[in-house]
Amino acid sequence: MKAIGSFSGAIALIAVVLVAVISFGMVLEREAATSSSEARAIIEAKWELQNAHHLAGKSFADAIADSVFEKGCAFDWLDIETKAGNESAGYLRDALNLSLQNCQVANVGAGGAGPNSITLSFDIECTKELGNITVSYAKRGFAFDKRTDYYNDPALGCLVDVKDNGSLECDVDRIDTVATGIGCGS
Amino acid sequence: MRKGIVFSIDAALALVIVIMLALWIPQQLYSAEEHGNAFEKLEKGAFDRAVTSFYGRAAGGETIPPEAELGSCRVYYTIGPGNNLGSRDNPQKRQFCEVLG
Repeated sequence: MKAIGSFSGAIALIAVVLVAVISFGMVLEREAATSSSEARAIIEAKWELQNAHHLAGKSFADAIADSVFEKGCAFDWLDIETKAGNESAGYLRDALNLSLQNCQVANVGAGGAGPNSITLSFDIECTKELGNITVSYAKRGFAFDKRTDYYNDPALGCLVDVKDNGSLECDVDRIDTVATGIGCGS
Repeated sequence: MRKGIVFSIDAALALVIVIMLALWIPQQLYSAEEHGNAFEKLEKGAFDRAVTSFYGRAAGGETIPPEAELGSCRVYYTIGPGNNLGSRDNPQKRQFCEVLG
């Protein structure tokens, strides 16, 4: 009887160990999944902030180009400043509403010295929800420095280019630079 | 002695059940996990491609084909450079997808 009891006990022990091993594995797996999704939420929030920053630069350039065009192919600092300081924020807010709705822009300010240097500073905050995790990522004091070239083409009318002075990227490319020798694009 | 045999058969049956469960439970867990992992891999792949394409300014425009078993897409947004002068340009969606099957 004693031997039979030991045998049953051993079976019970094996079952307990088995259940413990499986449960422990599941707990470890869940912990790993949680920390992985937290890391992902942070990375995605930072990535969306990068994309929002990129859109800010592009919509700012769009505002400058529209101002020059609307002013009859002329640089009007007051209009640029108004568009950059007020409307440009509208340009960016519109762009974010149509794309990265979880990102907000604030404290937009414009400045500059003329067509060769038009600056814009602003803050962006992006919030990302992933499962039960909400990550908020903000950056203060982003700044852009742009320049604009414009050309009144006899056939096509007013054409405008806008270039980023920091990255040297051509944000708005409407002038045939090869033919005219003006502008930043092709 | 007879009782002992009955207990031993019970124990042997229990052992068989324990072994079967030990084989079956992980198999169920892994098959569910495998499907989840495949989708997670696609999601990560699509995200990585969207990020690298963003810095490379790639055009995108990919979709998930209807015959694909699984798929995941990510986008980045941009404006220009061929802007409409005199009116606000809407952000353009550049989409990148990873598919399975």
